[in-house]
Amino acid sequence: MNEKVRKIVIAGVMGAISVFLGATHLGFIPWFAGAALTVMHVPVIIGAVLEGPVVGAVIGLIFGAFSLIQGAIAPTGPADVWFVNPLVSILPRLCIGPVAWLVFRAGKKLKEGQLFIISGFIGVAVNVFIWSLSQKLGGFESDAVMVFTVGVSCVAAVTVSCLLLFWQYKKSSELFPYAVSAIAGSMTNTALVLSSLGAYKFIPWQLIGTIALFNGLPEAVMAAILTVVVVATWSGIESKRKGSSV
Amino acid sequence: MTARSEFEFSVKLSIGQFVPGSSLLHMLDPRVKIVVCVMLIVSAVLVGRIFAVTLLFVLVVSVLVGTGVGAGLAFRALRPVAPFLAVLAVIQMFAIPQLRENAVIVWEWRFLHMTDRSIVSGVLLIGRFAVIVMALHLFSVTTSTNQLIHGVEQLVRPLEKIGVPAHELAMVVHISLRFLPILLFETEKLMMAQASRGADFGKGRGVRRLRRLFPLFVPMFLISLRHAEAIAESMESRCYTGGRGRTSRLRPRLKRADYLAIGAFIAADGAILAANYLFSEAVWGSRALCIL
Repeated sequence: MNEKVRKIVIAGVMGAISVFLGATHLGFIPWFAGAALTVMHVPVIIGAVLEGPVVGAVIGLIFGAFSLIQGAIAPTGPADVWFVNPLVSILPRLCIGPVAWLVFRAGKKLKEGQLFIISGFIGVAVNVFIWSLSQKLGGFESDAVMVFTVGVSCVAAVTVSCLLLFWQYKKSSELFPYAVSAIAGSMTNTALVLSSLGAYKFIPWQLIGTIALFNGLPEAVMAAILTVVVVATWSGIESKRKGSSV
Repeated sequence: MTARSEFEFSVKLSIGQFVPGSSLLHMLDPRVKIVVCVMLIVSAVLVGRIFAVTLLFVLVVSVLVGTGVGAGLAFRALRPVAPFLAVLAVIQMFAIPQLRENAVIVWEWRFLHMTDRSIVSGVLLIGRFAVIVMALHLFSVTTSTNQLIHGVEQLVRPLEKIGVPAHELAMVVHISLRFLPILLFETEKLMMAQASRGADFGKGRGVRRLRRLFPLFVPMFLISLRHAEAIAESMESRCYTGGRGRTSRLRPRLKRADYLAIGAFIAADGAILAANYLFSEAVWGSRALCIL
């Protein structure tokens, strides 16, 4: 089949799923204290690992543009209205796909052990980057810096351990890169959206670490599970876990 | 029928409310409207002065009134957003500690502080969002999705020379929009099928809820991917090969009214942006003026 036509169609269809999940509120999963987790970015990740970074970026663009329009036309809460700003809604979402794809490609080439070490390093690097960025933008008290950094490091640490558990559970190294790339893509979304919200002073930096921890982490885990299951079924990868096949 | 209605989403999908009409805005070339809309959004994000945001707001309203769409329609767009905007503005005024640093406290009651900077940022927030919401509304009411897609495609076509796939991008958006009803139908069917097997999508939260939604999400993705293969195959069997050499039945051309409209708008918007940057503290030296 023609590569290009398939890419166009898959980008369009995955974009539609993302819009659909948002518009029908199926993609929002209630979490504690009235907050909701979202799986709207999963189509972006799936598109990226199946068809490459450009497709991922295009689906991200649709996802972002839709949350912008939704915030402006039919918001369901104050948080939706923040996304009317394109720097909050579109720019971070453009990065999900390419990051997920890069991590996926790296993960396919490496052995699991190497991947763990590298993802640990990347986690630290992202930490330092966000930390220095917030320092530069901030001008805030030192305890805020601490809370934020601790929050983000917790996210990184727990993510890695969840990853380990998940991988143990599945025992399938073939699926491992998909899980890692989904987590990376999801974290990209969380980190960039929250930093842009912080940069615009919509949320105080002190809160951002907490939100990253309580929202970003379960979102990443959900994205990983969903991505792995969908991709595994689609491309016929079998896990060693016994059970019925879809 | 109440049991069934839980699975019907068609009602909830109400984005893209094109209202056919014959106002001047309806007549304008979609490209002009896209440029105007994007410029309004960008300048609303860029401006940082209350007077500039107010001027932008006046500009949007006057475009709506002047072209015969009517301001009533525009203010109706603000209604669903207004309560949330109010909440956000209150948060901005009281709860952001960064805005308390090196600012003058205007009002204080126990732990609530209102500073000049927090008031400015609250007002800016409301103004900025009101402008963006109205700009988007102005655009979506007067432009059909077909016009929108063709407009975007023609606008980005010059970028094809540097490798931006303009036609392909428009095609993706087109497929997305056309695929939504199919997805809607398939998901309704899926939900009913799984419910008949005893699935319950409504309960629990977090991972437990996700597990309940799994029998819905996974087949949804797989069905969509399968549909995608079929669409790609049928496009190919109709000899679709992408943008190169493809012609279009509709070829809108810019008329004089379009040039006039875009010229007038750019002049007004540019003046507001210029004023926003010119009236800075460095030029005026006075804090009160710079805050406005």
